[in-house]
Amino acid sequence: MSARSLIDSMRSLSPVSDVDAAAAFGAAGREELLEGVARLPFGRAARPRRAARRRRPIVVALAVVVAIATTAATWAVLRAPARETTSVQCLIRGSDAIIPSTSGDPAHDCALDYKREFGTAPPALVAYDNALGGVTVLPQSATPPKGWKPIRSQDIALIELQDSLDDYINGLNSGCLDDTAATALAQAKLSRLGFAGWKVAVRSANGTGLCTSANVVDPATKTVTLIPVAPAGQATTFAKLADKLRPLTKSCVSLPAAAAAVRAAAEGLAYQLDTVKDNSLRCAAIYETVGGTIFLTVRGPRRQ
Amino acid sequence: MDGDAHDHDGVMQNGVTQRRERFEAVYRELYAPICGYTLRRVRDPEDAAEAIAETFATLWRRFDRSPQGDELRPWLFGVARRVIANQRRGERRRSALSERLVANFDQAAFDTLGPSDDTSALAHAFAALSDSDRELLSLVAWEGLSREELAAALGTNRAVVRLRLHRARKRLQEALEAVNARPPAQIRLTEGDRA
Repeated sequence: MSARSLIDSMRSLSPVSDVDAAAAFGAAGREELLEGVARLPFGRAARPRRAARRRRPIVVALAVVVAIATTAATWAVLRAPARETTSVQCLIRGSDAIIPSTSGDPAHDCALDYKREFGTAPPALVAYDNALGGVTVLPQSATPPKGWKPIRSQDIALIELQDSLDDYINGLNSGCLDDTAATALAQAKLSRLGFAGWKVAVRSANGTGLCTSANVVDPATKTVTLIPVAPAGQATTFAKLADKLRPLTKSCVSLPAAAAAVRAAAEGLAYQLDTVKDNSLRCAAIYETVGGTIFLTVRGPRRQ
Repeated sequence: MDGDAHDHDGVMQNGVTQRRERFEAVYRELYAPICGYTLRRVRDPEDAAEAIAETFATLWRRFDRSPQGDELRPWLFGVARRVIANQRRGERRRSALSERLVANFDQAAFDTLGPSDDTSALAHAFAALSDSDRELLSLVAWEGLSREELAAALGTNRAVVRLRLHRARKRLQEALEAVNARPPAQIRLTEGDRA
């Protein structure tokens, strides 16, 4: 037996062919994974993180960003002031990530993300309105490009609205909603969070069996646009977790109590938990959103 | 100014769309090979799904900086190899991405696939090799990588690959001889063959 025939013989030891392996996950699995991956933010090699959800888009000019870091993320489209965005670009020591905003303090959100990612505290950070409709956070020691202005906060109500709409526990992803049910739910969310004068529109879509779960929040036109999309599986880990968390959202507890209950419910799963102190709330609110992993956000008062 | 902003939006949106289209083309070409690579090494469907999802998520994030053309396939095997190695080191996690595969996994169909109880001398000899040797030889036999592609997959150079491959084949020969009652004198492992 020559070396070549030895290798040929070894081929017979292969447990499964490429075709059979791919078929094991089905065509649906292949397509769903493609859709899921293509929703991830890009620009940094890192662990899976929350997908760039259907948030009001922002643009960062590549050339400007390259002047700051070696890599640059491409954001989407701008419309309204930077403060009314719900994501933030963190450009820290060569690391480039776009993350959904959580606390309303972009520098804080980036610092927390950096620490999670690298295990060390970042340098002092400053958030800027990048003059292109977005917020970019840089180290304090970096000189921002011309036209960038420091910005302290983002609209926390918009951030919560986005979480609330994307939510798998009680939001648009809590089940397969038709246009009517999704519209009613979105209107209820707007009303509860104090968004007066906003309207809900539904984008027309072709196809059957669609669920109206995607959304675009546009502060410039005060419109939430709902979009019917193909349904996600209902037996997924994140759907099951949402089922476990739903009863918790019916009770009125403090932030620490809610966070502890969430940790217990999610034990054994890969997830990221963000807690946001908000003493204006009487009871803690729990949101579950999904991107590269399961993201759990709890907002509420320190004490009841 | 508004017009400029809209023009800029259009350019950026086109870039994002083109990126997605390029990625999708690569995904469709390499999905089956990566599924095959992974399921040949990871039998647990959930672990395999996690590894496949993480491999393509890595490709998506690094797409603008990943190798292009012929170098991309072996590079992606290298990514999958590292992801699986991390799983074996205990860095297991269940991501929402992998749920999309797990939810569609056909266990019954999968169980009927492949030689599950190969008792040949070669199978015994192969099983007796180190993880490193098995991986090297299987990259050649199962994934069909050339030496250049092996170097890309393993992140090393061609000379090192050649040496490691020579030694792995030698060890396989020795293991085979040990397993076989009759040492296969006809087995000659030469360096002239394409890896």
